[in-house]
Amino acid sequence: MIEFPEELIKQKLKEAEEDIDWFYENKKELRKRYCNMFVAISNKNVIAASRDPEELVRKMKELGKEDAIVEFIEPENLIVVY
Amino acid sequence: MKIPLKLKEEIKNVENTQFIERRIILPVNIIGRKIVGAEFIIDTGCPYSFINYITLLNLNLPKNECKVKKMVIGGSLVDIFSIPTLKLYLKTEKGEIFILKTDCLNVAMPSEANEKEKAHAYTLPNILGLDFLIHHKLKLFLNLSENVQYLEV
Repeated sequence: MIEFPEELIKQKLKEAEEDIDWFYENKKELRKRYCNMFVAISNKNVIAASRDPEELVRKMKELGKEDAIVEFIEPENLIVVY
Repeated sequence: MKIPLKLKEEIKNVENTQFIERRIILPVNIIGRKIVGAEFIIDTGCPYSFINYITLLNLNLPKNECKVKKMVIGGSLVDIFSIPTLKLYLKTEKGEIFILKTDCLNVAMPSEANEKEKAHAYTLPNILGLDFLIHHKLKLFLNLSENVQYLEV
């Protein structure tokens, strides 16, 4: 396992938390454009989206944003219980 | 030491009926070969813990070829495979970093199924279940009506 500097981890954790908050705050709006898609979120922006998880990860790699948060946006009328 | 959790909710209107979907979320950095941001759903109704397929792809980790078990999660039949040990980095309420090195996590992969079921299985979230809480001796405190939720180490 690779070791990373603590300051970098702290920064990435803060960014991840902010992006998760942003996603939930904007999920309804995002659903209009990205329903049934996986979205990659970085710095409070959708940087890539796809219906195919493998394609999304490829896009994230191309953008050099492999640390982005990935979320799936289900349709509004789908109630999900795990 | 307290690790804050987030209570997220979404109000959905389906055919004139209002549904409120609430989730208890733990934001983390997962470190394997690289740093990946992710969220886990805390699920005390789930006996096991796992990351989803997209998190595995993102971490660029191999899964073991040997299937551990089959499970039905959220109506999807999935195969559970073991994965290498991972480090989870969590933020404490004081803003410090707490590290959990864990081998509790597996990966949930769509089982042999039709394309629709497979697609559904890909959408499963990352889940921390009871095995994780027990193995790492984490206490879970919830007082949702007061918006108080955290893990205690």
